[in-house]
Amino acid sequence: MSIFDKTNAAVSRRQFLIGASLTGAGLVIGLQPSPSSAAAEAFEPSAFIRIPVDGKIVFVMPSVEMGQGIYTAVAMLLAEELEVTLDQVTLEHAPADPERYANPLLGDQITGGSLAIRAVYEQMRKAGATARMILVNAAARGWEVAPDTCKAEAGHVVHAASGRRASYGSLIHAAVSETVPQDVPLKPASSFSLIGQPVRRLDSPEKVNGTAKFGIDARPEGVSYAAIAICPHFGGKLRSVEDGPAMAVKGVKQVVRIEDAVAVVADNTGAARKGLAALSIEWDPGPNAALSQADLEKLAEDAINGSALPHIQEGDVAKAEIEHGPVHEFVYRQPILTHSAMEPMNCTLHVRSDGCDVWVGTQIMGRARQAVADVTGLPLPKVVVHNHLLGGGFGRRLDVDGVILAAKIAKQVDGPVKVTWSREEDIRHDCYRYLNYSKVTATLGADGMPVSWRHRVIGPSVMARWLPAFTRDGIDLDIMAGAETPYAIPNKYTDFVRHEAPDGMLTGNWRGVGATRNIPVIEGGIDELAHAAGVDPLEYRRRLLQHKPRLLGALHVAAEKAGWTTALPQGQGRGIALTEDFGSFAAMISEVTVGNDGMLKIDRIICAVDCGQVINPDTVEAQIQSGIIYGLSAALYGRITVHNGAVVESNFDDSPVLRINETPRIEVHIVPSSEAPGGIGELGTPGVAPSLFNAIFVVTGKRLRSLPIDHNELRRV
Amino acid sequence: MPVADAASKPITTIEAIGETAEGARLQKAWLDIDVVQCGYCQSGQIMSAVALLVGNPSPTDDDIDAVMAGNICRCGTYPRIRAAIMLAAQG
Ligand code: FES
Repeated sequence: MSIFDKTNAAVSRRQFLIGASLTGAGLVIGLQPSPSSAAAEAFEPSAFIRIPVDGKIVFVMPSVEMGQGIYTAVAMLLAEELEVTLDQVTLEHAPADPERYANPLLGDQITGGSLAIRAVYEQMRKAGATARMILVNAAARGWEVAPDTCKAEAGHVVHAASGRRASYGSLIHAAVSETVPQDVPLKPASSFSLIGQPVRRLDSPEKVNGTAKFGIDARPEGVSYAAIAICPHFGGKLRSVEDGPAMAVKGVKQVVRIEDAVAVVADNTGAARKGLAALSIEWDPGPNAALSQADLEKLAEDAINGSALPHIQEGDVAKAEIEHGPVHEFVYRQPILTHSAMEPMNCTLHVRSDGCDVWVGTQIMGRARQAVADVTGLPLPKVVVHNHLLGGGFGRRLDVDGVILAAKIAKQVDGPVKVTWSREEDIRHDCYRYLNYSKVTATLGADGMPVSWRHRVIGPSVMARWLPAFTRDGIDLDIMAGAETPYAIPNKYTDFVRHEAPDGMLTGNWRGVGATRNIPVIEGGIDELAHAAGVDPLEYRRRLLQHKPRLLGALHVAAEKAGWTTALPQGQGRGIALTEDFGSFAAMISEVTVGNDGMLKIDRIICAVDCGQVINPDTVEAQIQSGIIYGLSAALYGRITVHNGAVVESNFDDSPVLRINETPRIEVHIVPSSEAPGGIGELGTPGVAPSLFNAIFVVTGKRLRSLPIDHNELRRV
Repeated sequence: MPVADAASKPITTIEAIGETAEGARLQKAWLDIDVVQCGYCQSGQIMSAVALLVGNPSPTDDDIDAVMAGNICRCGTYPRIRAAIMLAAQG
């Protein structure tokens, strides 16, 4: 029995392990495999830290890395308090284990909603500080000196007076006998040596030299490859298919049928795709066979006057509307959007009678595991999920439809099988951001400032299905996020008309979540009111934000950097949009040129960000750039259309995204703040469309209220 | 180019691109600028950038845009791709 044995009552309050739990813990990302092999002993003071006798310290990542830089940020938080340097650590994906790795704010093992840093900022620093304290206490006891005469630095405990020095690894046996200290004080921000510094991403080297492993790189021994066709019609089913033509292709092993899809399994991806292309599949198009885009838009239009659930009520809007007419009314219409993550959807499974392994990149580990257990009928503990780096998430990998589909196929396949979607399947079977309409009515006082704001949001309740805790009395709290505006308006009323996509069409979370639905409406709308009042839109917002110092501060910085008061040449204009969400604040100013022919060129986007205590400023800049470019793709091109109950678009040719040659200059300015850290992964996206609406209005006098931006509407000749 | 056309030709992949002068300079610039986000597109970006620099050792912004427009990055690393190519071209 090892001294690390968990059954040792004396240490039962602590979690120690024999390194054997490395199995199933996923890949070690990091530059070299840790010398601590599966047989080595290690000290695990918490679920997030593992210290071997020698070699690198392992940090286990509770959130997943999909580009947002969270692995580097979490490592910085742990390292800051543990007192190790980042080159002394290696990172590991957490296994599916919501009990140990749930996001404390979401109650499940989910990476989304820009919640990771907010959730773990304290948790990780505490984990680091507690572990450090145990090691310091252990060293001090061994040296027979007072712990406060020792200090920790760069993975060692040092007793300066006697010149003694011990590596953390050499202390782990002694550490086991230490009591876990409670409420270890955390460093004040003034003592941070890592937090707030620009640190290079820890996952860069392997992503630059091609060795990084995404879900799609999983290649378990004996794996075969499946290409799939899913019924193109939402809610439709497979009617019939003959195996013959696929089986005639060299390398094809099997044709698998499930209720609404066909998979061709082969020795290699090429053969699988060739086999799939050879099939004549007959689909039963189901109940939506006649549904067109016009029908969907008509249904959404009708829903504007549908029955609504009141959400926020302040003051008396009805009275204000009578007293302060005329009522300004505007309806904003937003289209169906895909996520189009770069890594195609994929999932590899090996279903056996006694268990199942799953290799996938997912934002929602626990649910992925549960889904496989449900499909296979295996007990949950028999399902092992190996998480990977994600080739983009954006909300797409917050759903497990791809895991369920792959599990249904893998159940019928002998040995491991990798199910990879084509881009066409990805675009035609997303968890879409569904149609989102908003109707706003507002009245102005004699001074031109708003007296009332009534905002009706029409769209699906994703939370009803996905996270019911984020609903209240039938109201989806995500879709209503911020609908009441941050502005000081005495009378406010918001309500929600639940309007779902047709059955069989999955709708889900999309980068920027509720804010990307409501900010275009609010920021376009407030600009409309400023112009109606004849007040400069910057000044108008300032007057309404005196109670919002952080938003105001960001606005001030953005205006100064943009040179708001300097005139632009004829044909150019600037537009503002503010975003308060995710615990952060952003002020964006877009500068555009619109030709008489309607051609739109985005010249520059300035974004000032107050996201509280910055962990890694380099990541903040990258994420704001990223969010803006994602928003630009949507604002300029994002629109999925439906015909015969099926999505018309299929690839980047008819569903384009922004390219490098269309990318404007983007300037990110961080507003220093010592407030609690806020999210940044989604903060840049919501303001893009309205800042463009507002800039375009300045140039053309045309008020856009629909997306994507239609160049034809911008023509002046 | 159809993949079949490459069958009898030498192929350099991302894993070996660091052995070329341009490849090594670009990979270093990619690290210095910290270009990557999710990383999924980055092997392709670097390969295109190598092709660009081999043909044009000191590209302008427009040259970069013209060649790199063939590679999509959904994470929006474009600003840093430009910066990294510029840095590699100078070095
Ligand atoms: S880094 Fe994610 S797609 Fe380019």
